[in-house]
Amino acid sequence: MIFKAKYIGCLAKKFLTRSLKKAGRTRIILPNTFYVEFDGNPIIVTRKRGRAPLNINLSQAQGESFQRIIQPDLRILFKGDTLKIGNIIVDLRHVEIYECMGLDLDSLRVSDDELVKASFILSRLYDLVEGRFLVIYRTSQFHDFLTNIVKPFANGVEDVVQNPEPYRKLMGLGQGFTPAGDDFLSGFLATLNASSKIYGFKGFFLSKDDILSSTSWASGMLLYYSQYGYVGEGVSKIVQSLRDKVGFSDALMDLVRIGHTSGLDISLGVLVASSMILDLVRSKGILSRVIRHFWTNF
Amino acid sequence: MSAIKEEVEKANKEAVERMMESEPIWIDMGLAKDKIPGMKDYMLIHAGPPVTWERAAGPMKGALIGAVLYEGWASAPEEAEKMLASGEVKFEPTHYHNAVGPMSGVISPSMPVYEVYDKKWGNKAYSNMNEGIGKVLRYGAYSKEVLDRLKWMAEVLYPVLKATIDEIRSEKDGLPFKPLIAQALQMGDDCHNRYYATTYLFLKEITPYMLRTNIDKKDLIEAYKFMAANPFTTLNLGMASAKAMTLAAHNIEYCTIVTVMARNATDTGIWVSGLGDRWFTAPAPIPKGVWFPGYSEKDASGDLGDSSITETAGFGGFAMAAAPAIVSWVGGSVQLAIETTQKMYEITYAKHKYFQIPYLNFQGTPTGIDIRKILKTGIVPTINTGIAHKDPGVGQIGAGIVSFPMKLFKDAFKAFAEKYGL
Repeated sequence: MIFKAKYIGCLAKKFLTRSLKKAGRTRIILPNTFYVEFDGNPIIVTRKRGRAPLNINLSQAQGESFQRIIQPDLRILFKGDTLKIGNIIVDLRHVEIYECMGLDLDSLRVSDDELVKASFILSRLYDLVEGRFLVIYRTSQFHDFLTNIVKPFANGVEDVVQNPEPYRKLMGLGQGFTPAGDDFLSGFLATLNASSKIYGFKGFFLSKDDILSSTSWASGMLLYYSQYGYVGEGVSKIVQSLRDKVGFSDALMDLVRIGHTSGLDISLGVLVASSMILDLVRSKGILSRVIRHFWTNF
Repeated sequence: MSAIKEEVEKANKEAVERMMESEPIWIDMGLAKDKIPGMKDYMLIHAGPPVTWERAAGPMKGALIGAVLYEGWASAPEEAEKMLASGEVKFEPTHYHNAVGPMSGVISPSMPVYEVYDKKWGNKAYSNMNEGIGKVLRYGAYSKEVLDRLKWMAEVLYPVLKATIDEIRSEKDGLPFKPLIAQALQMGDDCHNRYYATTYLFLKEITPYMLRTNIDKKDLIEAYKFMAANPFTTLNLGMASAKAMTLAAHNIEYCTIVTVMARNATDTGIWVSGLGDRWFTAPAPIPKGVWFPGYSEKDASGDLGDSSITETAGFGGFAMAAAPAIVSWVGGSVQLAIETTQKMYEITYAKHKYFQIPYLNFQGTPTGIDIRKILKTGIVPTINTGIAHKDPGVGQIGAGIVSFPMKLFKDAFKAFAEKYGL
């Protein structure tokens, strides 16, 4: 069985070509996506459309569930322009590279009203999942994070973001393939670290060991690379939209569709981080206007 | 639970409950100028959001020209066009007048219309009479044959239906239409593009009253034959009923339920209950469909018509699983019809209390399109529709399936946030 690849992300390409062993194993198999560990690095092979640094996007959008045709822990070989997984071949010959441009922020021009509008939209969309999935903003870990990191930072205590404890409490929090806490932190750290270059404060990066001792391998790997700006198209679009006065809520409404709550949680991370940073550098009060839609006692 | 969440939940529940409990009854016939509120001389109403003459697409222009000729305001298409372009004849959306019309939806002052009354909530809604398929005004055709048919409908069909409803009214309130839709959904109609069972049920109901009128027998037979031969006879009454149902759900503060979805071939537009009569628009998409011989997608105009009011009220394309035979008309497979209905449950607030689908174990139809759910799932409303030729004067060239653009719902939700969230 041959699958033609349409796009390959910059990191996925790097991991394949720079690998010495040129071999890996399948780790997690989902109906339309499977995760591969290649010399310790993650590569995601998917039928879904969204491009990302770790992804190989197949051209065929539909087909038999991968869970029926691929087993976990199967040996994978990279040879020439193909990935061989048992009887399956992923053909990379005419693949387009999805370049990793990084999160190219030069300033945060987003208006206060745009952020408040987005927070209202997000909170109303969280209403739809309440009772079925964990709503992260209702958890004590989230409140702890706001109290110990977000609020002090917004008030000018920049070093507070270096305290790893509140991050550890959030990692792995929630159910599903990527727990809500990991998704929130992905959005939060991607925004924080992309903005640190503009405003000259120190960013924060979780270590791989710290992440993998707190959450699952696949979700942890996504979080690890997100904090360096290696994010998929949807997340990239929402972070980049912070450069413009309006457009953030549009980007948010595109992202919220991902997963059961993943899109919501990543968006919340971007929203909280950007409001916190804007309170620090521009106006006071935007953070509380945003958070009041999620936590009235903030 | 936050206060706003409670408000939205309460509002949506109330809106959908009101929509489902609405009791539309056909109560009268009359000329548009006498019945439709705000209808004036030298004024036409049309389907979808507002559009200027310059931006209007071929079939809309054709139908407007035809209506001007029908009224006798102009004697040639060129003259009619000048009157429309100059503003001498005004045109505006049907929905501003609690009216609906299929495809171009063009209604002129002396066209006869159905009057539907919502016995439960007191609203009235209107629609014109159906001409059949093919070369007809609503698809933008305006040849002599089209105008002659409209004249015949006004001179023969209208008096028959008027006398019939008067007879019905001498005995009861009128003809309740919701039970007909509920029954027809269990007989293989979806009540948007398939109205066979509804039309037969309608004729069964009205025939005894028709026979009791003093109308000349020849006219009665002609009228009966025309209605029996046209499977879309009851489309317009179904649409007016749907309009009455959705009116009951409109203008409720904090409500995120869609109360109008309509297209004019240039743009497609929606209203959301909590945002009043404000249009949110996007370019009208071109349907994917089954083409009449000699035509293809390249001949098609953008989608048009108010008929998506049926899906807004919880039937039509949302009930396609009830009407497997519809795929022979709009294309696709039976499986697609079932999947379309199943997907629509993900973006609607409730399952209808009275409209049920036998194949889905008599589940209620998906009812009450919630803009929040559309944004969360990425699933947009899908309907079935007729397809008009892109040029004026040609008419229908097929039927198919079309999805509403996501932009409509994004823009509406942004406006909702501006109104209630800032």
